[in-house]
Amino acid sequence: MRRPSTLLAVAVVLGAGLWCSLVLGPGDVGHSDVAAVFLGREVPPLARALVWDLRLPRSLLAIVIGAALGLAGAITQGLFRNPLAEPGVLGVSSGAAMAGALGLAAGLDASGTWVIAGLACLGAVAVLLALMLWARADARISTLILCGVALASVCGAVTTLVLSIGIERWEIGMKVVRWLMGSFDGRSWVHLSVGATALALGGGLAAWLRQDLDALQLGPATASSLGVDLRRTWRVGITTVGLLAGICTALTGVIGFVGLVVPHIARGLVGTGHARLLPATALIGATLMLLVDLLTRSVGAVALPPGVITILLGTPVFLLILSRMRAEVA
Amino acid sequence: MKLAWLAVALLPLAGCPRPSAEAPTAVRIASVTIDSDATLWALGDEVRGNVVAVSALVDDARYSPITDTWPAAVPRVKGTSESLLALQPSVAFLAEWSDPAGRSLLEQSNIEVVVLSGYGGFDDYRARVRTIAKAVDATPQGDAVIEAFDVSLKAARSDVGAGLSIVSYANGNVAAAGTTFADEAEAAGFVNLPSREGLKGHRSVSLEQLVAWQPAVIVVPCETDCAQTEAAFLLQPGVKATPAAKQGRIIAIEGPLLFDTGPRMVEVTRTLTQRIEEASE
Repeated sequence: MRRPSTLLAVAVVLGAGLWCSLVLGPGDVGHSDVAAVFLGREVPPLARALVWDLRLPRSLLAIVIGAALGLAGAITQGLFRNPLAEPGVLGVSSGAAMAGALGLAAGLDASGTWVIAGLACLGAVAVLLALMLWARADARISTLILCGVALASVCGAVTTLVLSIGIERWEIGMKVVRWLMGSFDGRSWVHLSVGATALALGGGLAAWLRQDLDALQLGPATASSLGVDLRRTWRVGITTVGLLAGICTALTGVIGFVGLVVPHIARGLVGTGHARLLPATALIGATLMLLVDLLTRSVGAVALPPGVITILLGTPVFLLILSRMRAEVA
Repeated sequence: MKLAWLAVALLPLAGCPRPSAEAPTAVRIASVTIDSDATLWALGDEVRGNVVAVSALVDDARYSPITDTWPAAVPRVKGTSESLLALQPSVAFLAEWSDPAGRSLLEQSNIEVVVLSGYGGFDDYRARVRTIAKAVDATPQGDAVIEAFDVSLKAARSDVGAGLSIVSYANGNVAAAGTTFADEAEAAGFVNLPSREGLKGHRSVSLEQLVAWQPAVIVVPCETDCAQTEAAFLLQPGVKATPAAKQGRIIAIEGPLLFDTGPRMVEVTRTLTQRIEEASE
């Protein structure tokens, strides 16, 4: 590991950030109240509700989502051997968003909390299946990325169509827009349990793929000669990305650019070997998302959408990566 | 030479039917907002007779207070400049969020475009009624509509909520100062918490903030099953710790009614009063 001290510092920031996220916020909740909640001591009901019911599941979910999106990004970039690949670029997030928006427009959210989440997952999987079918015909990376971009455009167009119809029924439009902006607000222990389960599954699959992903960086032909089953690696990799990105979008709406930016930061710290890259990506993603959530909660009484903050932070990094690539080509 | 060819090519078009160069002399009113649909109807028979179009949503019970009121013979329009131009109105009522390019096109066609704006409460409603009435030369009728509104508002006013704190929470947004809900709640004697906190308009607020405010009453919008909405909201994290939940004062009101900006605002005040009285019994 090149910079273990930096990663240790990131872990410390994560811990400190988690504590701050429990203490900071509206309502009169101090350090002693938070400690009392954990120690099972008597605390005012409001403090218990704020810490245990609202802040803790929300903050832990931010950590889980950050880690999952970071992992999904690292796997995608490894599979496609392209630093600009991420679930968003491949259309996975757009597919999930489109399916979720369609469900909201149809009023299916009234049937149960998990209907929209389930639909979002289906949307993500549908886009991935389309990509896999395309990969059979033409597995060139550039073609697949273009195919992903095209699918993302189609999904985006359908989502816009839903919104344009929603102008007449504006409460639907409002619901869809709010969901698309992404939010951790109001997420409970149930949301956290689903997110954590998906992260555990996705993390396990990612760990299983790590050596294949390393071999793929040498090119498909070399990887194949090293004994990598390319088809299986593709299937498992894409399914893992779909699971992670789909569940993330289902639970918190669209939160972009984390999957793009975080693997680059991690690569700078631990190198390109996936055995170290994947856990480092998860750690940095979790920390970044927790800090973004803390930021969105700390700007007065008005809540900011985390998806907007990540895009504002991620876009300059995206452009920086592009300019570096251009310089390398030159 | 090219111009000559162009003239020859366009020659056959000269025989095509086209809109009359002379503007119609009678007042022809086109309404593209539910708000103006309702107000124009309330202004009386003389005004109604001049209406050549009403909005497409006028018969939608979710939004319109006057469903099945306008005769079917009056066309329902969606507000595109093309559909409006075809009706050759002399005056058109459009909402402030309508397409500026479309508005400009109507104005260029010598149509008086009245843009209705301000949807922030009772005063804004009165101002809009005056604007509409003035535009169709029916100022006295407009004054009568406002007077009727004020009479019903006076009847709905109550002190049942005296001093109770209240919040309207819809899709993560609260209705703060300068919203219809602030006026509706204050008319029933409540203290609108977001207004007290210095917020203005509809603002995005976290559930955590809502719980920390400890409101005595929480109002949420519902679609069909309002009782189910109230029960579902109670299950949101932290909500049970609010006085509103403890005292059974989570009130779901049908969304279109809760967000109405016209005469039905009085109904919200009446509903709030009624529900608090029921909860107290």
